[in-house]
Amino acid sequence: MRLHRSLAGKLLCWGFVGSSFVLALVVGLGYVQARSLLEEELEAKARELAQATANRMAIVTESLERTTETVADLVDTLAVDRAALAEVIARTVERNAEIYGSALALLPREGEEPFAPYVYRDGDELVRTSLAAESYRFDVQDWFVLPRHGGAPQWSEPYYDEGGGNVLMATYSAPLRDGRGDFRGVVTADLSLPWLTSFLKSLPLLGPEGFTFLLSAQGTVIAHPDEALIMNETLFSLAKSRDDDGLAELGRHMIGGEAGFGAVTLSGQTGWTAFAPVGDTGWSLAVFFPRSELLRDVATLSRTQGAAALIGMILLLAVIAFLAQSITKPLRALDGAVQALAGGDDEAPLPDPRGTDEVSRLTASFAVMREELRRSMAELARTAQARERIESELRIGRAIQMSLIPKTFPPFPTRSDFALHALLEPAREVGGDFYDFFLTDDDHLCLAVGDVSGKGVPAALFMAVTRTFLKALAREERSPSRVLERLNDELAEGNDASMFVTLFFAVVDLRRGLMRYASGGHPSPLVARPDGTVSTLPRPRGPLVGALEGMTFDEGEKTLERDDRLLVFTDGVTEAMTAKGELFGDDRTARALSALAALSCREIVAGLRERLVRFADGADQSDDIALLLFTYSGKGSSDP
Amino acid sequence: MKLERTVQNDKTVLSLSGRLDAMTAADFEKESLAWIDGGDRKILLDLAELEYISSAGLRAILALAKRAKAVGGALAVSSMTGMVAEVFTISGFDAFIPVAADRESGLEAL
Repeated sequence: MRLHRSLAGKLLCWGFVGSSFVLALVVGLGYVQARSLLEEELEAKARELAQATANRMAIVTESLERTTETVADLVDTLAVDRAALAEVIARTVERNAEIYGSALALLPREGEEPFAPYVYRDGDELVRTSLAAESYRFDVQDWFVLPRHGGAPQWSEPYYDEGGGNVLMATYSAPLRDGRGDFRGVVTADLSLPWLTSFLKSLPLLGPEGFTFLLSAQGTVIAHPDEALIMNETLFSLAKSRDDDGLAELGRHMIGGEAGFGAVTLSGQTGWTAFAPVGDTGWSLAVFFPRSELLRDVATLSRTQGAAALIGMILLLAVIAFLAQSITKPLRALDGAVQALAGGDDEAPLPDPRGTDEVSRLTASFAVMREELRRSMAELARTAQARERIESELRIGRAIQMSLIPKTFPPFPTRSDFALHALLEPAREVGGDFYDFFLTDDDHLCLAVGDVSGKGVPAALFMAVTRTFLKALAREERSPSRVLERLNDELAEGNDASMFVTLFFAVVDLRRGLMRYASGGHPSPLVARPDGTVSTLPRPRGPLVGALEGMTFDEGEKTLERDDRLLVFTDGVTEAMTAKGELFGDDRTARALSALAALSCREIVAGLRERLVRFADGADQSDDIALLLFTYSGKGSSDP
Repeated sequence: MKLERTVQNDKTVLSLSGRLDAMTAADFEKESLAWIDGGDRKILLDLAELEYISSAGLRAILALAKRAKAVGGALAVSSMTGMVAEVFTISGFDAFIPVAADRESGLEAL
């Protein structure tokens, strides 16, 4: 997928990985911290609630206790009649909602009618009854016996009051005393356990699944949402049946009258419980909060955090995507332009260089570079075109040059009185050397070697003109100097380009071996004997041919011996160069000729050429090379 | 090839150094012809520092001399040594261009 390879994709991927990691860390830490915070908060809340509930309970029990004791005091002080006493009890129950029932029981005395009126609630009705029935021995009941022997008001253990209120209850009894201070009987108030349970239910809880329960001083369950447990189990019997030491421990702390907090398993749920004693009843009240509910709260918190984190991450990714897009859009356009440039299109649009960021600077640099490239390519194309033109001109010039010179050797196969060989080796660029030879009649041979200034087509044309004039003039004039003078005037006329030619021109009388010659600024030819003796031909005065009109040329004369070799050459020979710029020079030329002098014309020319090539040692030939070798074999004056 | 121009009164001295061959002759010719077109009339070519001259170089000097003459001026060369002096002699250039041994006598002769 392209996303993985693009910059934007990478940014998105790494942004996603990075933010996921951070967010997971935050949510995880948040979860752990929230749980411990909630646990702490729960403990504080639970302790507080347990205490508050116990206090509420205590208010009930204490008011009940006070009422009972008030009635007892009343009975003690006012020795009113029995009917009035029964009425006091009835009023007491009627006015105190927390009191289920109340009894006044007098210790049975000899000759006295047993007196034990009992009033209790049945719904909204008050039921008046007497406990002094044959079937109900009240004087053996806990609520009667304990204050009698203890001498102080007391709470009984909860019990089922069969034959009395016919309900689960706990009874607070206060002793009555006669004038002598002897025990006379009790006044009681009953607390109905079902009422207590519903009262507890009406109090605030620690969440919907939490509950409150109450233990008696003996550890008996007296209030619990599970009514099956009430009066049937103690916390210790429950702990034993479940083999739960923690629960037994909790029970011991609770009946010990302590307030506290602890983890516990109740009704099949793990959780925490906080407990507190209820007034001076000896009872202990506990509130329970299941762990699952706490975790649910933490989970809710974590879900909220997670959702916030997710939204944050999506926003972050959106921002990254936007940034990546805005960064890579010009980069992609630039990439496209570079690709296009590589493909030869230097006109592809570039992104607008907005701002001064790296991408904009890169774009601007690229635009400059492309402009430079475009310019230099145009320049190159122009240069190449110009060079092409020049080169084609040079080629044409060279072709003209080569086509004009005689190239068939031996040129005069029927002649045995002389031999001749020549070579023209054009340089790569510079052109204009030439050689020529022709017979004006059977006995007169003309030799010419020249070097036209300049190059290309103009030089080639100038050479062609020179050669044509030379040939024509040589037929009209016997004297070489005369030929050069007339040639000079012809060439100089209208020579706007200031072209000229260096020229050696000789006419050989083949019968006698007499050579007459003239030179227009040309290097002096060499004469060699077969034995290797080399001499330089004296040079007659003469300027460059064609430069200025009206010049005069001197003439030289040399009588050739039999087997004399005449070497005429251009400065391409003496100025042949090595790569380091060392010149072949006059001396080397003379020595080379001397070494080759015994050979035939063709062999001498080939030998010289070979030496020049070896000397240049791979360096470009800088100038044309023209060589002409003439051997006189006729009946010279010294012919024996 | 290096070309330096100094003006003394109404005379111009062009000092050439290095090689005047087919490669450099065109530049030399263009530059010095421009000076003639710009008003230089009496020109002395000081060739003391010139190491090499080819036929193309000779042609450029000839073109310069002709142009100078055409506009009513004159051209002379001076201080030639070695190969350059030899080429000048061989080519017969001394026949139509005044040659002086040094700059002072060259300027005087102009």
